[in-house]
Amino acid sequence: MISPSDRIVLPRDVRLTSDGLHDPVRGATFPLNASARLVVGAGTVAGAAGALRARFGVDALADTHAFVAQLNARLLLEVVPLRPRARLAWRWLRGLPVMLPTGALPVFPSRRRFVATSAYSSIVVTGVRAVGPVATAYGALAAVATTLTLHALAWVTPCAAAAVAGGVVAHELGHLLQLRGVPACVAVRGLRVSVLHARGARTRRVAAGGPLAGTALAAVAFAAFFVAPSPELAAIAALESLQLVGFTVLTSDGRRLCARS
Amino acid sequence: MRTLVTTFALGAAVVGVLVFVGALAVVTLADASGRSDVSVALGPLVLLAFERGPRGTGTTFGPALVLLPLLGGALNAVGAALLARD
Repeated sequence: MISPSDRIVLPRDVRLTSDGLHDPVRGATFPLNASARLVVGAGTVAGAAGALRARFGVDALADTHAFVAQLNARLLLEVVPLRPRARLAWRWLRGLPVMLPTGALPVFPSRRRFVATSAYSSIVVTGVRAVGPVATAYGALAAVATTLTLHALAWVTPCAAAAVAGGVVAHELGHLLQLRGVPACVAVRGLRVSVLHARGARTRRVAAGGPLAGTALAAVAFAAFFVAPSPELAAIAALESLQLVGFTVLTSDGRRLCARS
Repeated sequence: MRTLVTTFALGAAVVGVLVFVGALAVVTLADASGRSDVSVALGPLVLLAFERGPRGTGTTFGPALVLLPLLGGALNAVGAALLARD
């Protein structure tokens, strides 16, 4: 999914220091040797390979590609294609017939989205900005799925889209709101969303925060349903209630809660 | 022991609420779509039965509504125990 023409940039909160790459969320600095510094400082994957060739006289495009992919997987380097969404969607579709026979799916590059955790208000603003695009994608998928499967009940489609998108935002905000004053960011890889924060920082509280926020949304939908019963509110409440699964061992949040309770 | 009880209670509560919510959603959808009767059962155990009569609609919640949370709690506790062993 990474192409030589892709731009490589440091995430907003990661700094290149004299010691290496400093990640304030993990509170760690990852040392870089001379060739790694050349890669991190280059504008594109191909540019990094060119810089290595000019400096060391080696053809290192494959190694550069692998190194960039590793740094990206560890959320230390962003890979940004030109017109990212359309490009990545096309690469994903093109990679599908190659990867499917091996039992795997093409892997999107990771995106690290900045979240300001100094105050609750800034967590909400930057958190919604960080999770918004992927929540919208989930809402669109829910709309497509319900249109295809429940076309007789057309009113379900907007409810499902709103419930799923709102649920994703509420869930991730629930995690983030437990991290006030703790450096954190949102990691997005395709449709996978997770919150990265310092190891050991309020682990159980953070794990419970997501499902709790989603469940609170379900409770609000239920209260509204009992005040003014309607099939739309019933559908939203039912979908939001699925966030309760987050308290069981079926999810990573639940495994953190149950394994340590 | 505490972990076992907590995970059982969490699993049972989650499945209990989900089953109840699901049952309510099915009944509401059945009512909205004008179905005359809907029945959901696990073999002989009835989960819910919805009927539309001449004088209105009626819903019966069956014994499976109690059994499923117990099953969910047990499965969650077993899962947590397996995780703890790893």
